[in-house]
Amino acid sequence: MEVVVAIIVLIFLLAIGVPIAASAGLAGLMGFVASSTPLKAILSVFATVPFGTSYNFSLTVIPLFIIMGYFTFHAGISEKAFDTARKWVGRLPGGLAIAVVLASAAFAACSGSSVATAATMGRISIPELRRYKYNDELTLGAVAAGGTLGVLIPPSLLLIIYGAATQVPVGKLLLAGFIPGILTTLMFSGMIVFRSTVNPLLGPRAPGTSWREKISSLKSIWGIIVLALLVMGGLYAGIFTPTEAGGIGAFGAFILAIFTRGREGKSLRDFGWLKSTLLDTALSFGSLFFLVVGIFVFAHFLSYSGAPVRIAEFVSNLSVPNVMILLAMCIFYIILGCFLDAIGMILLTIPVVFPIIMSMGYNPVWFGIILVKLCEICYVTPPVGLNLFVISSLQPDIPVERIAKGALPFVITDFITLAILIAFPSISLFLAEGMAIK
Amino acid sequence: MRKIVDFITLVLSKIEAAGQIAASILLFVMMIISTLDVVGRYVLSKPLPGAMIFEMMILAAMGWLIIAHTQNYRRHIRVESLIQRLGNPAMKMSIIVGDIAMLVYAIFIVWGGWNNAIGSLAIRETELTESIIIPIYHIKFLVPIGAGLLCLQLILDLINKKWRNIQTDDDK
Repeated sequence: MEVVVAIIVLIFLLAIGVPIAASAGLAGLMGFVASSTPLKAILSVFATVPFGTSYNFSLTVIPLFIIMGYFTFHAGISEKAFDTARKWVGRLPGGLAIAVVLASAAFAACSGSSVATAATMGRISIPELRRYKYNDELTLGAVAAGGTLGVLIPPSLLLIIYGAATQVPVGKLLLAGFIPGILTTLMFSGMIVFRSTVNPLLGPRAPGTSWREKISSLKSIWGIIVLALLVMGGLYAGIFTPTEAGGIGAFGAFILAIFTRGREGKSLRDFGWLKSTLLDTALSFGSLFFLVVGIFVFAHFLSYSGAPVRIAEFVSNLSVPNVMILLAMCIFYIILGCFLDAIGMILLTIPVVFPIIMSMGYNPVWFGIILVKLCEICYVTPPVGLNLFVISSLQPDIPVERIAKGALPFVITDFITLAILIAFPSISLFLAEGMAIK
Repeated sequence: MRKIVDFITLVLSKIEAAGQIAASILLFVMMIISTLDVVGRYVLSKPLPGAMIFEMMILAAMGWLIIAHTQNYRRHIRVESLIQRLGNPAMKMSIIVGDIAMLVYAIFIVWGGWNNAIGSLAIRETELTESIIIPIYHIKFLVPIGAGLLCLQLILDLINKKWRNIQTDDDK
C-alpha cells in the first residue's frame, strides 16, 4: 500500500513539473510516512542518504568525464573529426551525412553527453551539408541521431549512473558500450548510403579528395585517437579505475586544448576558456548531483518496503518466456522515455527493474547496454527527445516535427540494432569479459 | 522590508558565486589528484596516499557547494512536457509548486544533514586509508550548509516572484 502511495505521489509531482530530485525525495518521504515509519527512522534516512550519496567513489567519475567533454570541445576536436571524416567518406552517396555520424562517434569517444555531441556537431556540420544541398531532414536526422552515440560510446554518463545505481562495475559497463556504439555508427552509415543511393537527391556526393589529403587529415585527429586509446586501453588493461581513467582523460584533454590553442595562435595567458569550462562543468554536475541524491532517497524507501524483491519474485513466477518480459520492458521504457529525461528514467526505474532482470538470470552489464540503447532512442523521439530540441535551437527555421521526421529512419535503424544486441549478447559482453579486473 | 530582501538576495548571490568558484577549483584539483595518483603508482611506484578518500570528499563538497547556485540558474531537471501543454498560467503555477516542494525536501535534508554532522563531530569521525587518518566530519557540515543555502534561494525566489521572469512558450 505504502509503495502505491509513494508511486502516486511521484507521478503526480513529476506531472506538475516539480524537479525530479524533489519529486523522488518527497515520494520516498511520503512512502515512509504511509508505512508508519517512526519519525526517528525517517530522520536517519535524511541524515545518512544525502551525504552517503555524495560521498560515493563510483560517482567521482561523473564530473571528470563531463569536464573531459568540455576540454575536448575547446581542443577543436569536433571540427577536425568532421573535416577528416568528410575527406574520407564525402565521396560516398550521403557521404557528408555519414561524416556527421562518424565525427559524432569520434567526439562521443571523449564526451559522455548526447546533447553536447548533437549541439557541437550540429553547429559545425549543418551549414556545410546545406551548402552541398543535402536534404534538410537527412541532415538534421543525422545530427540528432549522431548525437545519441555520445551516451553509448564510452565515456557514457548514463552507463556510469546505471553502474552507480546497481553496483555493476563501471569499467566493465564502459567497455561494453564500445562495440555496440561502433555497430550503431555502422548501421547509421549503412542506412544513409542505402537511402542516398535509392534517392541521390537526399545526399549528393561531395567532391573527392586525393589519398595524400586523406592521409594527412589523420594528423589532425591524433588527439582523439590518443585520448580514446588511453581511456579505453587503460580500462581494458586494468591499469586505471574508471575514476582514474576520467582523471587521465580530462587531464589529457586539458593538455590537448592548451596545445591546440597555442598552435592556433591564441594567447596562452588567456584562461577565460578554462574558467568558463570549470564553472559550466560545476553547474552541469550540480543539477545531476541533486537528482541522484533525491532518487537515492526514493530507492532507499523502495528497498525498505521490500517491493522490488516481491515484484521480482512475482515476475519470475509468471509463466511467460523471459524474452517476452524483456520485450515488455523495452516497450515500457520507450513509452516512459516520451515523458522522462533519460537519467531520471534510469534512476527511477532501476530499483524495481534491476531485481527483475537479475531474477531472470540476465547479465547486468548486457542489460545496462540495452537500457542505454533504449535511452538513445528516447533522445530522438518526441515529445521530450532532447536532441530534437537542441537541433531546433540551432535551426529555428525548421519545426521540431520535421526534425523528428528526419530522425525517424535513424530510430528504425536503432530498433534493428537493439534487436541485434538483444539476440547476440556477446556483442556487448566481448570486451567487458576480457578486461583485467581493476 | 524590500531593502532587506534585496540585500539578502545580493549577499546570497555572492555566496553562491563563491561556491561555484570553489566547486570549480575543487574539480580541477580532483583531476590533478587522479592524474598524480596514476602517475605516482606507475612511474614512481608511489601512489598518492588517500587519493580515493580525497576524491570522494571533493565530490561531496562540489555537489553541496553548487546546489543553491544550480537553483538560481533553474538548472534542476524537471519534466515540463505535460505542463507546457496547459499554457502559461499552469506553467508558472507549476514553478511555484515546484519551488515549494523543493523547499520542503531541502528542509528535511538540512534537518537530517545537521544531525548527521553533529553526530560525526561528536565522535570526530575519520577514515583510515593506507595508514593515514583523514577526518571527514567537517565535510558532513557541507550538507546542511548547501541545503540551507538552497532553502534560502528558494524562499527568495518565491518572495521575489522569480517565476514572473521565466519565459514560457506562450510568452515567446
